[in-house]
Amino acid sequence: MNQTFAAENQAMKKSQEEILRLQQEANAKALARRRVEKGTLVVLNILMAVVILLPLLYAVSIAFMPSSELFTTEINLLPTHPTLENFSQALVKVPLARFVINSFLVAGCITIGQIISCSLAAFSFSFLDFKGKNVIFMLVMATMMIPGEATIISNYLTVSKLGWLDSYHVLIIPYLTSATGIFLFRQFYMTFPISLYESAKIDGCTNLRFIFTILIPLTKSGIGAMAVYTFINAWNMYMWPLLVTGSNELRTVQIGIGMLDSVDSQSITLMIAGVVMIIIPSISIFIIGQKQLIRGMFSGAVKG
Amino acid sequence: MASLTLRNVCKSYPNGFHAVKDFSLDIQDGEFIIFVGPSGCGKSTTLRMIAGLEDISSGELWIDDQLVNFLEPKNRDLSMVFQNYALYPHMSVYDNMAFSLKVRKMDKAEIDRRVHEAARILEIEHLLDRKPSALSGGQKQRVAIGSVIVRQPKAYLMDEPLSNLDAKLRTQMRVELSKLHERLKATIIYVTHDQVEAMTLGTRIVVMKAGIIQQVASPSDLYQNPVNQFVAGFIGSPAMNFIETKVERQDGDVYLSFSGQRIKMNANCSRKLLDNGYLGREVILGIRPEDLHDEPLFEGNPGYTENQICFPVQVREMLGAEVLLHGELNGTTLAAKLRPGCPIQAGETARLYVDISRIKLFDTRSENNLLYVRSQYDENIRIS
Amino acid sequence: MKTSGFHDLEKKLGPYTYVLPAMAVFAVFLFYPFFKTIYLSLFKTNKMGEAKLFYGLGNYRDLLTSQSFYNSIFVTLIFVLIVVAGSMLLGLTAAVLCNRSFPGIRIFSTAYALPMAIASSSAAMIFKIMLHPSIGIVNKLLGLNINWISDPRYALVCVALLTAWLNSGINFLYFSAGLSNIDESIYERASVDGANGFQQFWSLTLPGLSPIMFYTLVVNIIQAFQAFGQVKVLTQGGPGESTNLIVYSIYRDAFFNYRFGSAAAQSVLLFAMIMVLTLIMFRIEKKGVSY
Repeated sequence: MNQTFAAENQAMKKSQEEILRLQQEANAKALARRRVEKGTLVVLNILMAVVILLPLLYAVSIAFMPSSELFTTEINLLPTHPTLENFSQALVKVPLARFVINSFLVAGCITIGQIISCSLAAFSFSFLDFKGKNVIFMLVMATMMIPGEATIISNYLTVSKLGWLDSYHVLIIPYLTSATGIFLFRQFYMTFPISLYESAKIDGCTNLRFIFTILIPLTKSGIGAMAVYTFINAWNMYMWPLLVTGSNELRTVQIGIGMLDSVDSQSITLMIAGVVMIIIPSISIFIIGQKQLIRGMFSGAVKG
Repeated sequence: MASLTLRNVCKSYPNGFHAVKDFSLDIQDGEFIIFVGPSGCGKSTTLRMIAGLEDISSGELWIDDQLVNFLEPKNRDLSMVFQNYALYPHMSVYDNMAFSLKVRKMDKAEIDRRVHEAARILEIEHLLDRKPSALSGGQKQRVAIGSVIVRQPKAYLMDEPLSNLDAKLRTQMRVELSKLHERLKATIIYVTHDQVEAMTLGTRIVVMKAGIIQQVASPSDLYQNPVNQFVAGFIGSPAMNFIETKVERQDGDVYLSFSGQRIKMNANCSRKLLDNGYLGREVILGIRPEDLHDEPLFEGNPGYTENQICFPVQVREMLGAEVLLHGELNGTTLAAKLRPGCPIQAGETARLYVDISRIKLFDTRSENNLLYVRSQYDENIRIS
Repeated sequence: MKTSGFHDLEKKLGPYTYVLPAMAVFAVFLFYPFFKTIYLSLFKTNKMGEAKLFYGLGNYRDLLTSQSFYNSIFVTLIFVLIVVAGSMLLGLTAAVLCNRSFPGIRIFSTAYALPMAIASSSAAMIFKIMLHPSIGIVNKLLGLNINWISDPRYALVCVALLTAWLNSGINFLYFSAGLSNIDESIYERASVDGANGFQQFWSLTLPGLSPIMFYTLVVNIIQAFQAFGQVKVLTQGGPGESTNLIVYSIYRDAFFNYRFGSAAAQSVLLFAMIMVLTLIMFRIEKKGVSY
C-alpha cells in the first residue's frame, strides 16, 4: 500500500518536472516571439520615419556641405567637411533676418487677430440670441467651401485699388478671421452649460469680461491648437504674399527664400541652408505645440 | 464542452502588484462557475487569463488535457461576453453573430442556420438587420450572448454581462441565462460583483478577495457554511450581523456576552468553543438578519432558545413580503428581517429571538469560521 | 428711462457687434470677391483687371473649347488622384505602425506628423535638389539618370508625390485619432472569436476608420485642388503644360497674360468642382459609410 503510494508520488513528481520543462520551453518561445514582434514593429517604424524624414535630413545635410562636395557623382549623404559657411553666406546674400522678422510679425498678428475675432464670434453664436443667428452661422460655415485660390484674383484687384500693395496690413487683414476657428471655438463653448453665462451675468459680469476672464481661460487647449495651426499656416503662406509684396522690406520668408533659388552651383547649398533656417521656427512651434494641437483638433471638432 | 483546470495561477505586474495569487480550481464539464468578489479582487483578471487576453505570470492553465498558457486567444476555442458587450459597431446584428463563424471559414448555409437558431432562442430574429447603435441595452446584451452561442466552444466566458442593465432587465436576463445553461449544458465561467447573480446562477461559486480564493462552494453551502467572516458578510442581503462578544461560563453552560446581554450556546457551539480554548476570550458572533425572530421558535426546533437580543430600532422598512429593522448596539449596526405582521416600530426596542442552530462564530484575529464544516471542494483548492 | 433705452439697444445690437469683426473680414475678403469673381468672369478686362466689355458666358465658352483648359483639368485630376492616394496611404501606414505602444513612440509620432509644419515652397526647394539630374540624391540612390522635373512624363508625378508627402502629416493625425476612437474591447472579442491579425485589420480597423477616412478624403481632395506653391517653385507649370494645375493656370492667366476674365471664370469652375465634390461625398456619407 505504502509502496504504490510512493511510486505514484514518484510518477506525479516526474510528470510535474515534465510540465515545468514544457512550460519553461513554451515560456521562452512566447517570449522570443513577442520580442520578434516588438522588434519588427520598431524596425518598421524606423524605416517609415526615415522615409518621411528623408527630405528634411537630406536638406540639413546639404546645408552643412561645402558646395564643392555637392557636385560629385559619388553618393554623398553626409558632408565630409561640415561647414557653417552656407548659413552665414545665405544671411549676407539676401536680407533673411528681415524676412524672418516680417514673417514673425505677420504670422503673430494673424494668430492673435484670429483668436480674438473667432472667440468673439463663437461667443455670440453659442451664448447669445439674435435675429438671423442661424443664417449668419450658416454663412460662416459656407465660407469653408470657398477655396481661397478662387477669390484671390478679386482680392488682389481690391487691395491694389485701395493702394494697399506692399504693406504689412495687406498681408494681415484678409486673414484676421477663419471659419474653422469660429467652428472650433463654438464647438468648445457648446460644451459649457448656458447657466455658466447666466450666473456670470447675475454676478454683474459684462460680456467682454465673461469672454476674457472665463471663456478664454477655460478653452486654453482649443486656443493653443488654433494658435499653433494658424501660426504655421501663416508662416508658410505663399501665394498671397507672392502677389501683394514686391520690395525686400516687406517680403516674407517663403517668398524671400526664392531669391536664393537659382541653379548655379554656389547657391544650391546656400538656398538649402536658407530653407533649413526658415523651417526651424515652424517646426519648433509645431513640436512645442503638438500635444495642444492634437488635443484641440480632436476634442469635438472632428467626429470619429 | 470541456473541463478546465487552473493550477497555482498567479498574475503579477511589473510594478510588483499581485492581482491574482495561487489560483487553483478544477472546473467540470457543464458547470456554471461564478467568480465573485468586490471590485479589484482579481476575478476579471482571472477570466481574462483564461481567455488569453492577459498573460499568466506563473502557474498552469489546462483546457481538457492541453496546457494552454501560451496559446493565442484565437486558438483556445473559447468565447466571451464582455461587460460593454464589445459589439462590432459597423456590422449588423446578423454579421456580429456570424463573425466568429466567418473567420473560421464555415459554410455559409451552416452559418445562416446557426445564426437564425441562436436568434430564435434569444428572440432577436427581428433585429438581425439592425446596427448595434439602434439597439437598446437589453437587446445589445442578447446580441452579445447570441454571438457566443452560435459556436460550440469549449467554454463560455462572461465578464459582468448584466452590470450595464437596469434592475428589472437584469432579473429577467438572469432567468434567461439560467435557462440557457440548462439548454446548452455548457461550461460557463461567469464573473460578477453581484452576490444575488452569483447565488442564483452558479452551480458553484468562487469567492475571491484581494487576488486570493476565499471559498469554493455551491450557493447553499456558501450561505450556510461560509469559511470566514468575509464570505459570510459578502453573501446575503442585508449582510450578516457581526457582534463582538466574550465567551463566559456559568453553571456548566457557555454564554456569549456583549453590551450587558448574553446568549446561551447550544451543545455544538459550546463544545467547539471549549475544545479550542476560547473560554474567557473574544469571538465574533454572526447572525443573519433572517435568523432573528419576533416570536420564539417552537420548542422542538433545533434553533429554539429563550435568549433574546435587544436593540433600539432606528428605521423600520416595510418591503411587502418582509419587514427590515435597522438599529445600533454600542456602535455595531444590526439588521433583522421579520414577517410583515411584526408590530415593532421605529423608536421601540426590539427583543428578538435568535435561531441558535444557525449562528456563526468567528475568530477575532483570523476571522475564520469556528463552526466551518470541511467540504469536498476544499481538497480541490489545496491540492497543490 | 434713458438708461433702459440704451440697455435695450445694447441688448439688441450687442450680439451683432461680437460677430462684426469676423463678418467684416469675411464680407470684404470672401463674399465680395466671390461675387466679384463671378462678375468678372462675365467680362473682358483690361490690364488693370477692370471689367471693360460684357462678354456673357464667352469666357466659359472659350475655356470649354480650349485644349489648354482641358489639359489643366486633366492634369489636376491625375494630380489629385495621386496626391490623395499617396498621402492617405502614408498617413494610414504611419498611424497603424504607431498604434501599439513601444519605446520611443512619441518621437516617431512627431516625425510622422512633421510634414504638416513645412511650407510647400520650402519643400519644393528641397525636392528640387533631391530630384536634380546630376547631383540629386534620388538618381544617385536609384542609379538612374533621369531629368525628373524637365521630363513631362515624370514632372507631374514628382509634384504629386511631394504634395502627398506634405499632406501625409495631418492625415497621420486624423487616422491616429480615428484608431484611438475604436473601442479596444472589440479587438479582444475578435481575438477570442478566433480572428487573426489580418482579419482584425480588415474587418475591424478599416471599417472602424471609415467615418474619419471619409472626412480625411474630402479634406485631402479639397486641399490637393489648391496646390500652388510647389508648382510655382518646382516646375512653373511645365515642361510644356504637363504640370499646369488649375490654380497655377489661374495665376498664369491673371498675372502673366492679364486675362483676368478668363482667370475669374476658371476660379468659378474650381469653386464649382470643389463644391460638387463635397456635396456628392456628403450625400454618399449619409447613405452608407457612417454608423
